[in-house]
Amino acid sequence: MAPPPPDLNAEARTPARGSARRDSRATEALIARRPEAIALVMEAHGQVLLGFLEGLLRDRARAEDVLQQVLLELWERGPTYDPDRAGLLTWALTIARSRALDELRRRVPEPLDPATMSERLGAEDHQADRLLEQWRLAGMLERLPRDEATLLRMRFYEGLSQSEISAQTAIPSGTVKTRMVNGLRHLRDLLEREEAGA
Amino acid sequence: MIARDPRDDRWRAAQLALDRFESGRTEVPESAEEASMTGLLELLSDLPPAGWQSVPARPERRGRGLPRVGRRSLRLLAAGAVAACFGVGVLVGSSIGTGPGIQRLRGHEVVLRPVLSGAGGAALAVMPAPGRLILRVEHLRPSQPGTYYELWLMTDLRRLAPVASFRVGRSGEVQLSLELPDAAGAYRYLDISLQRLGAGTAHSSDSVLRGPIA
Repeated sequence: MAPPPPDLNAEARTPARGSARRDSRATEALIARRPEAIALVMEAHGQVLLGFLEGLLRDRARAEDVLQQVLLELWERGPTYDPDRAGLLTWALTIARSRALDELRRRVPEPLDPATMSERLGAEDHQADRLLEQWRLAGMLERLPRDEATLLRMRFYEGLSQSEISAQTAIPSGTVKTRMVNGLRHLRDLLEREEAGA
Repeated sequence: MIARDPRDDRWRAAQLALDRFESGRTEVPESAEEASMTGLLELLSDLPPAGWQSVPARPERRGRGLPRVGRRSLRLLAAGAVAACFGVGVLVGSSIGTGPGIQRLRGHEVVLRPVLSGAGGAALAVMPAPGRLILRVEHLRPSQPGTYYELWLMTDLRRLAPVASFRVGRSGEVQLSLELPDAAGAYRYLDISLQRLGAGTAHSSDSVLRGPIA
């Protein structure tokens, strides 16, 4: 879980670097195959991976089972992982997507109607891609400066309008909007960097 | 770090996309960058509740009370919430002995008591609607530098989910309005732990308050 919440009235806007540090430590440990690697991956991205898998499989127990497979695969492939090609979260989510789709397809009742099979599999792929993007985004929220992340949460999670946020935080409405725009811009930058790797 | 030049294309695209999103307009984005921002906004607005867990809820500003209810007492707040949601507002007037401001409601509430007898603090969590929780803490030790409190949904130390981080000022009081994750009903307790910055995000095993979820 995240460090304590910021004082929204403070001018200081310290970026959340802890998440990036955890990611970096996990990456190094995986490549070097150090015993603590999987624990570090879980600390850095466990919540996001499990959230993604649970969203796709709609079953907590199965999601946990598949997460075990994903962690094992990360461990086995760790020494060949190239962080310059994709960030750790992107790589882990890609593996999770594959293992989750394998699991979903194992659960499809047989026999399948060949006429609808490809349509159905295509819909699963699309849903998996959408969820993957959502959870990759969730993983990046932790890396945003706290004041920007908190305002985005208030707007998009709590459903408050910008003027309501302004009233509740005593931050001028223009500043609320500016910080939200900054947050969106940062998110795009973070997503791009994560996708492209280090 | 990223430059904060408001004139750059990405910043402008974010601003345009946000304006469009807020107004509900559906025009075709003017640039690929704006289209990406629009996609980002759609992802954010559809993000599952658990996806927001890493982002702290806003801190309660002392002296303001809950934003949507002003300075009402917890008693009125809780009674109103229950009445609004369930049509009945059964309030048991007697204090539970954990603090003069904390009153006990029948149903839809969790009383958190000190894990170690003799330790200070008490909390009442009221769930006015599914997925929503109002936490009122009193007499808790003010947060020391490098520490914070964390509210958890817990079954045991291996099965738990973080809900929110918060700090307590010199008054020892805090009131938070929170969203609960979807699977909140699967846990047995609400637990407040004392966490230390830099010591990882796992439960510290240093619980200060805990209460069973009915």
